[in-house]
Amino acid sequence: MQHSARTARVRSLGVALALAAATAGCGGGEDTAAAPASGGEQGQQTEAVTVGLVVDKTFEHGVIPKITKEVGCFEEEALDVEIVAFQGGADLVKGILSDAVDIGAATGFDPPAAAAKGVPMKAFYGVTERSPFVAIAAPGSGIDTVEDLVGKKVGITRFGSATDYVVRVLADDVGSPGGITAVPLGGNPADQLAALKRGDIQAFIWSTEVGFSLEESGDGKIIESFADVVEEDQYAVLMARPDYLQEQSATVERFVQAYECGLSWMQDEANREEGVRLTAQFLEVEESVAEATYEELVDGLTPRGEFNTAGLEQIASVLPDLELADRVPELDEFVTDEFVPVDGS
Amino acid sequence: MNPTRLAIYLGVPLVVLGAWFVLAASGTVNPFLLPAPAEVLADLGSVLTDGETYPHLWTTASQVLAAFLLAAAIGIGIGLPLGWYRTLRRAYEPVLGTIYAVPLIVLYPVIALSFGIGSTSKIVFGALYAFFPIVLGTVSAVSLVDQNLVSAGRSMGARGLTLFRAVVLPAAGPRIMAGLRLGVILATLAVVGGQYIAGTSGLGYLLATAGQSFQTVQMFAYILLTLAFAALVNGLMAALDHYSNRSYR
Amino acid sequence: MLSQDPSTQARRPEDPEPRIHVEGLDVAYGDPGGSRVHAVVDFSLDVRRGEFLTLIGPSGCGKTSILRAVGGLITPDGGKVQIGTTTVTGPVPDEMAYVFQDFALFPWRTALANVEVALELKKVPKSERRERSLEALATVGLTDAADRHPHELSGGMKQRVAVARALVSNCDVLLLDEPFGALDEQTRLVLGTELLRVLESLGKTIIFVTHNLQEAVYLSDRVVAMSARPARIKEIIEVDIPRPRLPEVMVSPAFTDIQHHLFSLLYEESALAMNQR
Repeated sequence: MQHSARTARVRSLGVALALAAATAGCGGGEDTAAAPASGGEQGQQTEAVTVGLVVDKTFEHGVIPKITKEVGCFEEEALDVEIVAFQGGADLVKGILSDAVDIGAATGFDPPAAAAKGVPMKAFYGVTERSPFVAIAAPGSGIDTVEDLVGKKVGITRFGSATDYVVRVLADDVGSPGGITAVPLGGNPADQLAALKRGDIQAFIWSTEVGFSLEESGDGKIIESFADVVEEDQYAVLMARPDYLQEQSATVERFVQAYECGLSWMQDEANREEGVRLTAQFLEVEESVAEATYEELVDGLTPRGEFNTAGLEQIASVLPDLELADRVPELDEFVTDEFVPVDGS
Repeated sequence: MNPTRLAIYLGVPLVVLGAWFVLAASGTVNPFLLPAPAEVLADLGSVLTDGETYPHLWTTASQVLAAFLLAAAIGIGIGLPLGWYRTLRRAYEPVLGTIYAVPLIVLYPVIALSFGIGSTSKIVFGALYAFFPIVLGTVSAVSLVDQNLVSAGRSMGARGLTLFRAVVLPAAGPRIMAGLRLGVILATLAVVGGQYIAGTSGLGYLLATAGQSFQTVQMFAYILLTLAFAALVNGLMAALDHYSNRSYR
Repeated sequence: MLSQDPSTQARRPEDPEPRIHVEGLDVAYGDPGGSRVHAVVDFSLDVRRGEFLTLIGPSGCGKTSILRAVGGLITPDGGKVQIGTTTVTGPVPDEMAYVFQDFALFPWRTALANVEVALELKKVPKSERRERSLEALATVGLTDAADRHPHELSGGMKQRVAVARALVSNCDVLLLDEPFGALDEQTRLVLGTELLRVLESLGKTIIFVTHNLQEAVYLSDRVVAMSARPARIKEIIEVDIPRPRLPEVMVSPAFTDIQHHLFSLLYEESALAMNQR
């Protein structure tokens, strides 16, 4: 997991989003969501779309598109979707640039970072604002809160990654900016756990399903959820090249509808059991872990695709600090709202 | 060196550089995928002068050396008796040959778990990769020693270790050296690879970090640096090979 | 005619005690097909002190196996070899020196170093080693080539280095396995006559293996004509031609008679040997 994210604190948009969610929850909402914006379902030609996942085994980027496909939402929109996994945001951007994939299931960091580098990329749909990152410490180590981590070492994936960002914000939040040392240990949670056990680090940052898994095995303890700490965030988005969005706008519309179908399906209580089962399958974890993860994250999904623009702005502004870019890109360089309802509507 | 030879030696690199320049300048390829050579070279210059790169170079060099020496010691140590005793060779050479064909990179996560992600795991991984061509090269070298030379040695009274030292080892030398050359290349690949996958320092780590951080220009600069490093390693070994074989041919 | 003094330099074919005694020798080896091939069966021969004895026969008849058994390079499957009164169980570097068909020079050593290695293995001190080796090279006429490596030498020169290596340790028995086999006709003639000149003066006991009739008659005191595999003695020919033998002797009637006789002995054996392959 390479990507920093800011969990959404649904405050300023709380009302608007509640309305949107309520509308989606109503009987009529789901049907309207499923109907395409232009033309009818009948007589549509099947379009092929390749989707690139920024990383594979995560809930927001890996599981969601796969569930959406599995329950037939893409089929309904006459979309033939192929899913390809990448190894991080830079990789995914290169994949989109070279036409290997059309649409990217990315993090909130990827579109602004690309734009700041002069690569034309736009987020066109918000999947979830909420960050899944948690801080995991060793049980019985005496580390129980983030304050306990000041002056200590915390494992991240790499400098400049999402997990790096989490550490900075956590330190800021307890009034000790820069007071927690980040130690990059790579992309394998097993390495983090090994370092934790050896005492090389006192905690590490990873996504919530790993936290739950470790709590269950007794190897770890979640001491903080990043979503509870950060104010404005936009964790997962869909992105594509502006020229693709322009030339294939009809296909993109259908894709957005399919995603709305998929996310709504996931939020529907009636599908909870099936959703958990599929999550367990796609993440390759125990069902109990999948269930805890599902419960934690599914309500934060935004089927209609609206963005937390404050979250995106916040992310863009820290890019130079994380050495991902030399400048702060403007919102309109990397976001387009033509496919989703505007904030508050 | 005569002009034709020079032209041939420089020809291919110049064509590649030229193609790179044209592709980047014409805008055919997005600079995020393939940055302009001028920018990359400029970045390479600053990378080499900023002083922060040298610890990474040094780490990589020392890990490669350690991995290579470890593999050489074990590989030659096992290869010599295995090559000399026919029953041993028949029993184990096929096994070693088969493992050699397996992409050992899949073992890296296991190695990293056992040895951490510091230098030790890279050295172990590099030694593992380098071991196979060295041991197989040694086995082959010893088994292919001209038996007439061995007989000559024996007729003059050499036996056992003396025979080995005076006849078999020098006779097997050139082929063992060939195995060592292959070994050092694989050690370099594996060490840098391991640093790339999960490391905290070294050329591989620099490559990974630049790549993952949307820093394509810097990544290409590091690629060039890694190429130069590999060329240097290979060149050193070639010189060693040449020197040790100077009397044979 | 009997003499009890073994340290004489002159050729003493009449000395009754054989220098080398081969009795009931059996040599077999496994062929690639897996079956046992009997190269030598119940072979016996006495080699007189100071004589030049040649084993000649069709290819593959087992003569090399006999020579290797005599030299202690292989262990026979039956029978025994004695040098003087000692049974041969392995190489006897103090008494026997071997010259190989393919020269068997160490490519990583200079010509001089190749000769020296025989003395190195006997722990002879450095200066003495060097001196004796240079002498041996001078004997075969290769002083100028001392610092060259084998790959810089011609076939004939390499063979002479091999001979020098055999001579340097002053053994009184020399075993030569088709030493000129890898050379062309002219070179082998020239080398053969030179070798003879050198060896005639040294009084060593020599067993020589070849398939070249002219060479066999020219160099030897006795020629053992052998059958096709498994090796049996067809006839032992005494070559009565007096020494020193100059090259012209090769066209004399006495010489050609012996050569023809040898030819007829071997012709049918060669035909047999060809069908054995």
